[in-house]
Amino acid sequence: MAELTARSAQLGRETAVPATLSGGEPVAVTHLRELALAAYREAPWPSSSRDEDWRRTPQVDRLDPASFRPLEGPSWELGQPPATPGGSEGPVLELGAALSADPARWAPLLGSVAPPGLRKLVALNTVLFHDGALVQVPRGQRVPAPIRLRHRVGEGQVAFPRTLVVLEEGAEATILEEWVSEDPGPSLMVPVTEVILGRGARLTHLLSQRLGEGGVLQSTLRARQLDGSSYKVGFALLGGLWGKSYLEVELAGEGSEFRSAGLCVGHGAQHFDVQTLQDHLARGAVSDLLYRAAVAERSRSVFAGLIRVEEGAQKTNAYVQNRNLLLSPEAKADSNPTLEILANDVRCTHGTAAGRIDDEQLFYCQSRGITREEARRLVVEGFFADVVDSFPEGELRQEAGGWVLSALDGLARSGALSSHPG
Amino acid sequence: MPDLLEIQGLEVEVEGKRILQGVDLTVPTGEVHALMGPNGAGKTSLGYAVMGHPKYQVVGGDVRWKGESVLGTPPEQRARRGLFLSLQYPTAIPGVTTANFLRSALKGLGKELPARDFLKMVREQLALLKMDQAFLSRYINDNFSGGEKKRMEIVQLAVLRPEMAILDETDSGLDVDALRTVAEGVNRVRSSGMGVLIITHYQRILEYITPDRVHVMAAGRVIASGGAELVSDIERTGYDPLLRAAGIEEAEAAGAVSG
Repeated sequence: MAELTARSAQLGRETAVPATLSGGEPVAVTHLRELALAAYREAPWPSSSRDEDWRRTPQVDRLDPASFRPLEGPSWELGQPPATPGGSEGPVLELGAALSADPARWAPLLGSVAPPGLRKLVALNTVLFHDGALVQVPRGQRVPAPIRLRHRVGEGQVAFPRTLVVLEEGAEATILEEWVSEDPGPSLMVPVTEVILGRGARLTHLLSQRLGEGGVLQSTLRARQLDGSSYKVGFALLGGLWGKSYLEVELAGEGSEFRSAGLCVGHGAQHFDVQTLQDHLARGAVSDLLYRAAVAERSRSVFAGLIRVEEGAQKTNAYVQNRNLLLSPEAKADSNPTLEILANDVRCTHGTAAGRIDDEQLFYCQSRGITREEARRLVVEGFFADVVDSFPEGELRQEAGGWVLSALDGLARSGALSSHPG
Repeated sequence: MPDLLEIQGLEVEVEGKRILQGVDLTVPTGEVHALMGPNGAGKTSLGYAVMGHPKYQVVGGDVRWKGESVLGTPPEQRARRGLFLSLQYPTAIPGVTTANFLRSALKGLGKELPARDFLKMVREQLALLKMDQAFLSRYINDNFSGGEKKRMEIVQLAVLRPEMAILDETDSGLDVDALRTVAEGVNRVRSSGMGVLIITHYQRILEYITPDRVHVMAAGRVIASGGAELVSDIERTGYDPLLRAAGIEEAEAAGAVSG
């Protein structure tokens, strides 16, 4: 308790007192924390006037981790336990326990995909995570049921969820990860998820953010894919006050494949900033990222998506697309997909579009008996259809469909579907 | 006693420009009326105004259905009271499947059905209109051909079962087989006692659907009404004699706004 209070007192924009893993911490992790602390002290706080990444999200200028108490309990919990292979313990282990039991195996992987120097807030997570989830699937094994991970934060708290996902060669799994808070008050969540996919491994990973009204999310999901691996990501930003989410994938192996479909629905003064990287490092990899945002009232979506193709990454096929639906005259969407291509035999495209609900669509619905509000709901639902349809029928599509339905309910409750005539 | 759609002295503006100059027209349920006339006569505008499209501002006259004015009510309320408008260019709504769209419409109309009955009915109507069952899960009108859109309008007409339907050029852009299929669809709903106002500027569809009355519009008003024989008159002589009789110059008849 005394230790936590001390940590809280010294958690700030300049420094923090490193946490230790519950259940003991291997030397390698202590070392990583020292690096992280140095990186944290060295890096200036993100600034909307100085940092290109933050130019459109000035909320960061006022964010101070010192105004939150660090979460004390576990930062993650498991949904219904999957009946699975993955060693005798199952595929999900407490990070601290796994590191203590086999430091030589796991310690080198932690922080290897998202090193502390990557960004200030990744450094902060690395200094302060006090537990974490390790999802590991041994070579050739397949986890049949989705693994459900939930990260919670309470009012006035800051949480640093840490997740390491390691699928060995040919392994297969599905992870459904949630960031939630039930309280409407202010909270901060700074999750870092690292994903390592061995040769031919296949991972489907759905993430959803359902923070309470005052929630702030600062998330990093970064993956490294080896030869022939497949990574399918779905994500939904549905709650909270504002946030920035990084989704970064290194296609480090030949013929690896990354596909992502995400959505965001904003109302009130919500502000969602999403920054993605499709980093093609090897030949013949495929990546496809689709992000759709619907913003109502005064809410705002900011998207920056970079496809980077390294010199040796010939035969790359990459696509990034962002579409935005503006549901009110005050809502805003910024979209900036970019290409940075150093190879000469590639196929890379990007697309962006912003639009409003077409009056003719509304009239058409209304002329068939559908109320204007219901018509708007239908059109917004339709706007997200290709995100939902990108998942295979069954549990996953149902999950994504659930995102849309809860988002629509949120819009309806706030009056965002009925308040504007146009 | 049939119910009446009564359009009385209807004057309509679009963006400040007068389009309808006092239209008088009455269609009872159980009858099929044809509304003909040259391009720009205001036929499409009439349909939109009756259904309550916000762009078509009623500045004079009245639209009464079953003895009550519908003016000032939103389109969905007009639909709930039994009116239907089939669009000349049906709107696509990407991401919204035909099944979902029809289900929402039936719900809005207070005619919701159990899922099984709903599917059975829609499947039947698709089959009658010679449309593949796959259209159920396709996005409504999205990447449909012109003919598919028109057939889908008739599927909707049959599924939603209004009491009074205005069909705006449902025949245009159809080949002979499609035209016959669509006309059969209209004849089926006609036999159920529905009132139908068919807007067309071709005589073609009227070879398959014999109208009880024919009205001719030009320059934003109805200039002639008569029985089915009026169709063959027009076929023989065109609109000119009617226009001259009404004292309308050709340029005026064409109007400035198409439809």
